[in-house]
Amino acid sequence: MTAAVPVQGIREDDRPDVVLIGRPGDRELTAQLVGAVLSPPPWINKVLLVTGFVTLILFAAVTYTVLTGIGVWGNNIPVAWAFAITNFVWWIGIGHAGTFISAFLLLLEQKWRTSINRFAEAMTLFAVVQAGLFPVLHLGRPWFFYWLIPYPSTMDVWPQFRSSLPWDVVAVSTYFTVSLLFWYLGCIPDLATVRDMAPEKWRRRVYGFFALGWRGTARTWSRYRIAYGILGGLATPLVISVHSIVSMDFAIAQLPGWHSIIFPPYFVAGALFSGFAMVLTLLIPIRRLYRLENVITTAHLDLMAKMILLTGSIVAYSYTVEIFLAWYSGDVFERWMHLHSRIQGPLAATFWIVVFCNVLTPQVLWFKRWRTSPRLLFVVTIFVQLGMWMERFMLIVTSEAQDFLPSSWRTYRPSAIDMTILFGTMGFFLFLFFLLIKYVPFIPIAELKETRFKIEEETRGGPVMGP
Amino acid sequence: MIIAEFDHAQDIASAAERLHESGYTRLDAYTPFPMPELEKHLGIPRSKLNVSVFVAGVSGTALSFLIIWWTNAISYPINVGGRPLNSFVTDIPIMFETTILFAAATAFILMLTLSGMPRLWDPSVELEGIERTTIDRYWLLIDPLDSAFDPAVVDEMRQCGALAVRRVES
Repeated sequence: MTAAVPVQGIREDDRPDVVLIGRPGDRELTAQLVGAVLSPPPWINKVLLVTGFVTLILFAAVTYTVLTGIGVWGNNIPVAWAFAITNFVWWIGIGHAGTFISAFLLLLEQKWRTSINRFAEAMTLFAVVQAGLFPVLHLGRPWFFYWLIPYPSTMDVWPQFRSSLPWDVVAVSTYFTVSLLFWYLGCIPDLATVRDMAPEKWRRRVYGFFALGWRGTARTWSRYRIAYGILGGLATPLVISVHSIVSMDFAIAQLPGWHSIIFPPYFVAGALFSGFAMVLTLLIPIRRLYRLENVITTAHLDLMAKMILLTGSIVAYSYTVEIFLAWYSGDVFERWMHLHSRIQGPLAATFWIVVFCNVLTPQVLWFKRWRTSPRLLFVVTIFVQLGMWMERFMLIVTSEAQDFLPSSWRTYRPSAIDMTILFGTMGFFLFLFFLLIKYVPFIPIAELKETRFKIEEETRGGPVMGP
Repeated sequence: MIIAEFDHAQDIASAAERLHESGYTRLDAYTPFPMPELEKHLGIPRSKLNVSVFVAGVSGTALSFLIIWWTNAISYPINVGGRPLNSFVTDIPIMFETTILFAAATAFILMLTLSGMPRLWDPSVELEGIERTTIDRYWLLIDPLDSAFDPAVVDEMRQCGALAVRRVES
C-alpha cells in the first residue's frame, strides 16, 4: 500500500467539495487500490477467524431451530412475527442504501458515489443474504420453501398471489439477483486489472477466470456503459419498490399499528436511514485501516451524514404523521395503539429508545464538526442502527402484543436462540464483508480513474485545485 | 495492425479525433476506463441494448401476469371475502418486480455475449504489454486496410504524444 498521496498546496482534506485528494496517476492509483487485495494486511485473517467462528455459532443455532422447530424461539400467539420479521426488515433495510448509492447517485451523476459504490453495493448483497434467512426459517418447515414458487406440483395447488407474502418472495429474490448482476458488472473491469497486476500465476488464473476475458476495448466499454446505466436505471425504482412491498406485509393487514397508508414511503426512508448509517459504520474503520483518506475523503463522510440527516428527518416526520393519522381516524383501536400502548404500555421503553436514537441523535449532524469527525460520526451511526432495529421491533411486537381483544393480549420475550441468531447474522455479515475486502478490489479502480480524468478535464487551464 | 501506445487519456482522445477527421473508420482502442468522447471519435455507434432490454422487460410483465391470472383465477380459484379472482391491483407488485428482473438479466447477458465474453483466451492476449491497458496505458489500433490509411500515420501518432508505435500481425 502506498501512503496517502501528498497534498499539493492548500489542505484539501478539510474542503467539503473534494472527493479525490491529490491527482494520483493511473499507475499510482491502481497500485494503491489493488495493493489492498494483493498484499492484504495481516489483521484481516484474525478478523476472518473471529467472524467465521460467530458464523459457525449462527449455523449451529439455525440447525438447532430447524431440527427442533421454531418453538425454540420466543414467538407466541399473538406475537407470531416477533424477532424473525424484525430482523428481516432491519437487514433488508440496511441493504437499501447500497443500491441507492450505486444506482440512484449514478443517475444523478454524483462524483462522490465513485469511491464508495462497490463497497456499499456489496454491503447490500450481504445484508440481503442475512435478511433472506429469517422469513425462510420463520416458515417453520423451511425445507418446503419452494412451495412459495409457482411450479406445477402434483398437489395441484398454487401460491395465493393476493396475499402480500408471495410479493415479498419475488421482491427480495429479484432485489438480490439484480443487485448481484449490477455489482458484478461493475467488478469485471477491476477484476481484469487485478489479473493484470498480480505477480503470482494462481492469482492471474483465478482473477482472470472471474474477469470473464475482459479486455477493455472501446466497443466493450461502450456497451458496458450502456448496460451499467440501464442496470442503474432499473435498480433505482427496484430499491423503492422492495421496501414498499415489505411495508405492505404490514400495511395491508388490519392490525392496529400496521394498517397505515403512510407505510411504504416511511419504510423506504427508514431503510435508507439505517443503510447510510451501516455504510458509515463499515466505511469509517476501513478508511482508516487501509489509509484511504485520499479517495474516501471528509467530503464523503459529510455528504453521507447529510443523507442521514435528511432521511432521519423524513423518518421523524413519518412518526408524527403516523400518530396524527391514528388520532384523526377516530378509530378506537388505532388510538389505543398509538396514543397509549406504544407510549406507555409494557413495551414503551422501545418507543422512547426509538425517539432518542432516530429523532434526537441525528440532530447533532446539523453541526459540521459532527459530520466531518469520523469518531463522532461513528457513534451517531451506531445509535441510528440501534434505533432502527428498535423501530421495527416496536412496529411488529407492540402491535401484535395488544391487538383488538384484551383477552388475547400477551407480551413477548426473545429466547436465547433468538438472540444468538440475531448476533450470529451480524457475525456472518461481517465475515462475508471482510472476505470481500480481502479478495475483491473494494474501491472501483476504473471508475475512480474515470472520475479523476473528468475532474482533470474540468479543471484544465485553471488552478489544479479549483478556486 | 498498427498500435499506438499512449500514457495519457487526453493524448489518445486527441489522436483519435485527428484520425477521425482524416476519415479513418476502422479504429479501435484499449483503455483502462470508459471514455465516451473517444468512442465518438472512433465512430462507435451507440449500442442498441436498450431495445432488447425493453422487450425483455415487457415480456417479464406479461409472463408474470399470465402466471398469476391463470393460477389464481383459472386453475385454483379461492374465494377470499368475495374479492375478484382476477384482481389486477394485487398483481402489480409482482408484475413490476418481474419486469425489472427480466430487463436486468437481459442487459447483463447481452452486454457479455455481444462483447464475446465470457472467454478464457483471445488472440490479443499474446500482444506484448497488453496487460498495461487495464492499468495505465491507452492503445489506439489502426487498421492498414482502412481506406484513409496513410503510412505517415506513424509519425503523426508520435506527434500526438504516442510513446511507441508498432506494427503487429493481426
